[in-house]
Amino acid sequence: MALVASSSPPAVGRRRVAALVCLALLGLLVCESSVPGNAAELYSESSVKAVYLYRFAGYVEWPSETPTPTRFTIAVMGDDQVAEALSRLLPQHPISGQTAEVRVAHRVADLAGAQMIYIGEGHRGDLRDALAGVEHRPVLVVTSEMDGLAAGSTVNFVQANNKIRFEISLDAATRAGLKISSQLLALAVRIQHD
Amino acid sequence: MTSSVRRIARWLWPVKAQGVRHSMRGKLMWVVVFTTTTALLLAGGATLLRDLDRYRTSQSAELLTEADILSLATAPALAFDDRETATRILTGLRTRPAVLAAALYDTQGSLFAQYARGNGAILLAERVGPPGLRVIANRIELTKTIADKGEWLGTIYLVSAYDVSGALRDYARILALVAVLSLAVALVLSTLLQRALTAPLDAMANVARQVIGQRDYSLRASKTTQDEVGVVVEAFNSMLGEVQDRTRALEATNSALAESDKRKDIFIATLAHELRNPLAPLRIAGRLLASPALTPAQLEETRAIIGRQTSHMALLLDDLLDASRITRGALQLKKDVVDLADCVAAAVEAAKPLFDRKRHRLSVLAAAEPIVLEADPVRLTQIITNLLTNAGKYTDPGGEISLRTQVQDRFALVSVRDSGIGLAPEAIPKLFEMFSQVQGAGTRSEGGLGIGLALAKGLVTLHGGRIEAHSEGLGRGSEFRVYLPRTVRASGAPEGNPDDGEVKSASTRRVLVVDDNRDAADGLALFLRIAGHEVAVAYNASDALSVADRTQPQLLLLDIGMPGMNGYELARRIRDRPWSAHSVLVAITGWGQEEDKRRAGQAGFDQHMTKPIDPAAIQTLLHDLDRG
Repeated sequence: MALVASSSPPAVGRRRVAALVCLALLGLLVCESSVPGNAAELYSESSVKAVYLYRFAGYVEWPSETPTPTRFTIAVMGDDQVAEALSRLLPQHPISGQTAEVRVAHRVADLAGAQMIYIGEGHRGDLRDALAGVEHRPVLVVTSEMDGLAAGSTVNFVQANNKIRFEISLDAATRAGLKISSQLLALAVRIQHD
Repeated sequence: MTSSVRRIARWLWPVKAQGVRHSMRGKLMWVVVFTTTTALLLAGGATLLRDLDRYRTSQSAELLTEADILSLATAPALAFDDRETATRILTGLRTRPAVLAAALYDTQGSLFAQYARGNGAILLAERVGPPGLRVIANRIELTKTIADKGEWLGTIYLVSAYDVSGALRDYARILALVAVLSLAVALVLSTLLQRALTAPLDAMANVARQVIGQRDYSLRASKTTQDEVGVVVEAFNSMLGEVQDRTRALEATNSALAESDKRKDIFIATLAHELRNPLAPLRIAGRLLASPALTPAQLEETRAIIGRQTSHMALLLDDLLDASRITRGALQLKKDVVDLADCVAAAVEAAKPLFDRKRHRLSVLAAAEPIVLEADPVRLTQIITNLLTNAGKYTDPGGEISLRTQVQDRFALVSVRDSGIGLAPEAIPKLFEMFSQVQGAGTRSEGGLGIGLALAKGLVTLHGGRIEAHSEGLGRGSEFRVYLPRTVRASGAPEGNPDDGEVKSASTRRVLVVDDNRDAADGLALFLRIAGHEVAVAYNASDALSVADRTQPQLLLLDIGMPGMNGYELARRIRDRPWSAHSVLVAITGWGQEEDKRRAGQAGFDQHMTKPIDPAAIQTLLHDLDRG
């Protein structure tokens, strides 16, 4: 967007920005889901990651025999900004018909009981240790490490072409008893599979 | 189009109806072509409109479906901002030729991914347009939001080909094909069906043409249907029948008239000839009388010539007048009780000169007892005379002629047999017609007008009898038989006929003769004076009036056709005189028409006589005056 604006003459650019703002406002009015339309959040990495985390839930199927908790909890460790973004997003956006909430985890023990775990770059410690507790449990683990998948996570954020993409480990998903939509798989930059 | 259809029509219906410029078939064919074409166009137009609407609806629905599928497929790519995947998915539209271009716009309205078919003829906008379905020229554009799980993710824009003209072309091709086939089927069907309609009409038209062309009114159209055409055929046939009957009657009348006309022509020629024949001897006799050196014997001979010739002429004219009277039904019989033998004797006497001249032998075989008839003796004698004269004429000199009278039941039979030229069987039926003379007998003919037998037949019929002709063939003689009804009345002495030559003594009468023809007046006056009457003569009407006033005649013989005052006026004036109360007025005219008689009666005449005046008639008149 910035590229478009900069490649246009200033007057035209200003007008386009104005039009864009108007369109965003229109989008807010028309659509209840105003969060993804928020331009400020969209362009921060944390916001993108928070939105993606929220959206991942839509493409993943948790095993049905699991005793259904009354709430859908996303536990976030090592990235407060993402947690904050999620805390603003989730109250208005239920996941699978359940009220969703974010839990900020400071210790590994705090991760227990969540349906989704996100371990950010701010986490200092061995990822394997952190995930040992949720192994073989129906928990979608999302990381943002160079070798997150090797450490046992299911989805791992990567940087590609200045964009946030993700890779998926089908082995990890199988171990956790999760089914990942082929649509999501189609978007993955890499799929780890035996 | 028109000419090809005409050619097809010619091929289907070979032209039979000559002289018919616009045949029923052609008209029916055009009706079929016109109605079928109109119906096809209307139905085709309606179907076209409906199909175009359907095409548009189906194209739109297809595009919407496409958009829905694409929305589902590209929603994750939009959700995770994956332009490559989105582009890849859009590229999958290559398998859908109908989709010309596609674009995805993000929630900001910016172009996210795009696809264009072929060399990218369609330029996709950088910015999203308003949502909705639009048909622009030959394209359908659809702009639709993409949402997933209630979350708005972006907008999809699809362009699909909307080939109306192509669809129209296809449709027109199909319509044309269907139209041609329908027309062909309709024409073939109507050909088969219209035969039932046009065949009876054609048949009648053909008959009508033949009737007009050949004037043959015996032709009839056959009636094959019970519908209106059947009624027309019936009416047509009955009109033909009427025309035929009338034509036949007209032709019959025409040929009868022509025949009668021809006979009259021949008759006039014969009449002229017959009247001219006595003129030559009369002329000679006239010159002889002018000669001073005439001996008494020569004078006597001359007188005899004149007598013979004039009586011959008188006979001819009498026959002619009688024939005319019979034809007009104006002849009155003066019936009396007569002895047939008397009439036969008179007839034999009359025919004697001819028989003597031709040296015929006549044998008369009379019945033993006298045959008494109620008849007009003069006419009866005339009948027998005619038969004898006829036999004499058509028999070569020296022939045998026999006359026989006998009684057959209630009839008296008079038969005249000759050894003459005989009659062809086919000639017999026409023998008794007026003016007919046996053809080819002309060389033997002794003259005559060819009315003798017709006259005889007319007179016989008036007497209530019949006449027959018999012959065994040409050259074998002939026999004529006359049957007359016999009176059962007791026979009384037949009354003597008023004699022609002798003037009987009668009481003297005062007579006035008026005629502008001096010879006629003087001749009549001379005859009356010889009979012993006092006769005055006047040559014009005014003289007649003064003479009449002076002499007060008892009998006035007035000519009608006179210059100045005519006979009718003269009669009226005389009737005004008191002295004329007991006078008898007789009109003398050249015409014997009923109208003339009526006028004469109105003018005050008692009687009417036709020229030439028969002295015997005057005699009878005077005789009656004596008695009355």
